Amino acid sequence: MVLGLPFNFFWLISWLLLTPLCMWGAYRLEAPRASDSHNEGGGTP
Amino acid sequence: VNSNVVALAFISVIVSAGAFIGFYAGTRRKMDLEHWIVGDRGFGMLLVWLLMAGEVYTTFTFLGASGWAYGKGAPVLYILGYQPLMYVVSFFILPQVWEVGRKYRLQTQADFFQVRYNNKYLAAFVALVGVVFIIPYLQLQLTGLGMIVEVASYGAIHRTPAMIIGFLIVAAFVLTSGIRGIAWVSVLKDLLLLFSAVFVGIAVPYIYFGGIGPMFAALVRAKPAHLVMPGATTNLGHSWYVSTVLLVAVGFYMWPQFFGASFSAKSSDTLRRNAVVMPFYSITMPLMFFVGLAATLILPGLPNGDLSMLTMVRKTFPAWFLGLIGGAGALTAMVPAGVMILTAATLFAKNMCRPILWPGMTDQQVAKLAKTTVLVITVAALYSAIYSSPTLVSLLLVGYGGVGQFFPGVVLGLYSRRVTMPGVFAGIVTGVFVFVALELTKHDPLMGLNAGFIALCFNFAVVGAVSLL
Repeated sequence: MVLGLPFNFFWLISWLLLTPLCMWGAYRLEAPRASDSHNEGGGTP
Repeated sequence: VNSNVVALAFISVIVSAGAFIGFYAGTRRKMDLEHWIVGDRGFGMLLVWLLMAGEVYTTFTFLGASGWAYGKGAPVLYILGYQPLMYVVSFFILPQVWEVGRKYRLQTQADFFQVRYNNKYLAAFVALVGVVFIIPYLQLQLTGLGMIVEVASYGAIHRTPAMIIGFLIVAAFVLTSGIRGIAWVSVLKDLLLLFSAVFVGIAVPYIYFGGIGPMFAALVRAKPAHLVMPGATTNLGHSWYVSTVLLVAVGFYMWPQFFGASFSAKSSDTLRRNAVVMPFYSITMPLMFFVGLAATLILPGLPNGDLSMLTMVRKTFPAWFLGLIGGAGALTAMVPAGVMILTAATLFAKNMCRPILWPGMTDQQVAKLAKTTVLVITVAALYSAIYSSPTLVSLLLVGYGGVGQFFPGVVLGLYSRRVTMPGVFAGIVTGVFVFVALELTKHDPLMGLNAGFIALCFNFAVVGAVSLL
């Protein structure tokens, strides 16, 4: 048990909270690239 | 005052407020096809978040999550496994889909396939598969709505009239206000759902056990096997968990209604930022699990696990609070149902009827046909929900596995130039066929793996092989 939760619950709930942080990092990396490609024309097919 | 009158008054006020918001959102706006389906592509961060949350967190959150925790135990954790991952997938796919949608003025998922693969039969087939698999999901919302109102009104309203009234309201505001109305009803629905989940999820363990930790300690002592795989099941083990998490994580945003919601965003950056904040909403899921797990000790032997949360609330809280939960639950069924009806009607009119049967239809005629189809789909779903059988759940599982088969066509369509139309067409047909065959022959899971995941592997193999020929 970790913080009153079985480890499997603790692990998965932790990732619910950590995912937005990781996604924020990805957003900071991706957003400038995306705006560059958007300025160049964008749109895939 | 009788408990059922108090609860009923709360449910009526909340549903009426939702209906008013839905109708009001569409007033003073010209409801042409573009506005009706994709809200003129002008939704900002907040409306997109509400709309997406409105579609992701459905009656399954309200009843199914606690029901699975109650009836199945640890396998319910697959929900916590796929939710963070599906937002990662959406971060990379939805902005790209939006870019294509803006460039070619797309309104539906089948439009995407039409533009990318330039084949109206593939687009019509994608639309057909989408509509076929939306219907059981719609049925689930209806059945859930009926159960919620029946229990929350202490049986004063039977589930059939509840379903009829609820869905006539939904059809009316979908017709009047389109996707904008649905997004604004989500404001009320999400506030109530968040409040209900947080309050009930924390209060129930505290009231009965003195906290969440003591509740788990009691559960470990009483039912230790319930908290580890395969829980109370015999065949949902670790390989089922991994394959299901992978299938749903990649397949979740393949539901046709999410494409429409994505096209309504005003920029691709809105969708990226949405993917960053959406996981916070998932915190409602473990709270629902806590209620279901508490119910395994407090209310053992319920005939229907899906009612465990509502039964716990009815046992624990006063009538007005049960009415509040009932009203929130009713909106939780009505909002996603509205999007599903809107999407299915548009797919039918725009991507099946116009290209295949009446190529000369104008946009106005498509809009008129789609609005007529709203009523037909509502009545069809009502009929099947009223006369539904236990096979409904298996139909829903077929739905998840079915729409997941669009994933190779979408992701390879966005990121690969070598994928071909015949490859994608053959892949979807193979995937759907394999999945339906495994479901109908009751081979899900097969060798411990989710049948939808096996079908998706076949799908990818066929897409690759045919495209490289």
